[in-house]
Amino acid sequence: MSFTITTVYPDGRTETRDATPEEVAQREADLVAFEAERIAREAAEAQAAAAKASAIAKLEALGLTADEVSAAFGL
Amino acid sequence: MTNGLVVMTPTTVDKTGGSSTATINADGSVTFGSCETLSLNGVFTSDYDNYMIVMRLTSSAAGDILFRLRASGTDDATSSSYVNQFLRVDGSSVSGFRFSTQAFYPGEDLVTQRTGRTIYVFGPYLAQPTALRSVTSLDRSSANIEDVAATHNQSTAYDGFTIDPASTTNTTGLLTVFGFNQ
Repeated sequence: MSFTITTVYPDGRTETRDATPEEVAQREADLVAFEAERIAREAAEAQAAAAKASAIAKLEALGLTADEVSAAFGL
Repeated sequence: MTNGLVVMTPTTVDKTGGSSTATINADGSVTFGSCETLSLNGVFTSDYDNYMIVMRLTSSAAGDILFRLRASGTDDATSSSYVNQFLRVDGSSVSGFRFSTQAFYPGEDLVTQRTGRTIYVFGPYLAQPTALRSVTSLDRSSANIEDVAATHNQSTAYDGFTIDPASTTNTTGLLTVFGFNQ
């Protein structure tokens, strides 16, 4: 990965330079860390959604309506 | 000086992205287009303790956006230094989760309609841990609210920040930084 960084000044001037090796390495590390976090977060959200759906199904099997489940448990 | 909100004009803006654009407007706001990262420098100073960042934006693809505090032109991406507590309301469904990472996670950005976001930054220029809060309105299932509180555990004085539409997306919009003049 390589990229350039452009600095913009209030008077409209700009300066463009190549990212340093340290900046490139940091960017690559950021993206790897972000992707790992995103996968973990989405897995946690999916697990929570599945648990919620299971709870609703069990409550409705006991005879509660969807409105009653929502009113009583906020599901 | 009258109490209230004071516009903080950045001393410089750094941007990346092949076709990116950015302009520091005369009123102190920043207009930006197709930025893979956008950094504002010199917006947090010793004049004020607390700040509010107001932005509206769209992304080239739906995805998360990251926010990192920045000092002297370098982002602070210390591992696990930002602890994010996330709350989303989507219709009648409320979900929450917490995670630690190397960036503040103020929520998602979408392509379809404009995302509106306000970020409060508490004491970024003080050499002590910083607190953050973001409230986002976005077109997820037509309308969602995402409310994120975060702490950052580094005792560094920051003078700016970076927004980073992670992975390969880029962001377009306008933002303004205000200082709270108590």
